Amino acid sequence: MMSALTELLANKIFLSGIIAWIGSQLIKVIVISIKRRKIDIAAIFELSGMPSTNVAILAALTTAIYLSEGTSTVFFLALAFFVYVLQEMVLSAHAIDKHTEIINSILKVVHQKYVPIRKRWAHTPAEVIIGILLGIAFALIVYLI
Amino acid sequence: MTSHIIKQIRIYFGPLLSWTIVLLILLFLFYKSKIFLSAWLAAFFAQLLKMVITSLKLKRFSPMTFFRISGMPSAHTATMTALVTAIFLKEGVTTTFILAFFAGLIMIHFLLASRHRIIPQQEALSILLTRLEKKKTELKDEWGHTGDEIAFGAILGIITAIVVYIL
Repeated sequence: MMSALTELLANKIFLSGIIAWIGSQLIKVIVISIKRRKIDIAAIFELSGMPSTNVAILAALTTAIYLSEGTSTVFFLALAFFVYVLQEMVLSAHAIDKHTEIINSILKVVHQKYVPIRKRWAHTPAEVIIGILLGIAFALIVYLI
Repeated sequence: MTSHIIKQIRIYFGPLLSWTIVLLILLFLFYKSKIFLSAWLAAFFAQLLKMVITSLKLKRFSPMTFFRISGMPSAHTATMTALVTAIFLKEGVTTTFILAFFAGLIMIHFLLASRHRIIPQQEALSILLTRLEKKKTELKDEWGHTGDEIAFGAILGIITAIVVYIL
């Protein structure tokens, strides 16, 4: 069991995925703390925001698999999954955000005291692009060290 | 009345029947693979536990809750953790294992996030419908999973994969 753990931690693909995950969540904490003008540790569990963690993890994984194996079967599997997650985060989440906006505007007319429900769960294109760049950067850092 | 029953059957069994047939064909084709078997059995046991727990909660036997998509424990998480554990037990630390591990993480993220997205919308729509129809209306569709459901699903998946590999 211990040998498997050390093997896992020595694996560069796993390392780049984990570092992309933790690193992008930490960047999220910093960005949110700056935006709210106070340190917000609870933002480490934030599911949306700048940058996109899922995209960063998958970009790091795909890059790391490409760097270690080249164009193998697993690389194309990772790439297909990456494209699917991008589509999910960018396209379908925007439909839900649009519905939220419409519901909020109707609620404002019907129910004066109602607190508007939280907007914006989807990632903006800027967040997605920065997530991709961060992921690739993390994988490259792990491979160069 | 009859049309209502037919509609209910179509709602419940239309997608479910085709899905069940696909799953049974897949089981027939790949039952010899321990990786497939552990994932399949984890999903099955999770749905079974869902039925038992929901029946205990409602205090009456309700077999249709076997096909629930939400509730305790999470079948999605159970399937994915069983798959990851089985790949680890068969191959050790390989690229496939790592990819499956991170795919599971992202799936858990989607399960949690979709609940956070949809449930507030449902509550707001319930308020609107109550206003419009002048009587209490509540939408009670099920979406995603809570954290403890995901944790129990993960434990169930790991246990299933280990049991399949020991037997």
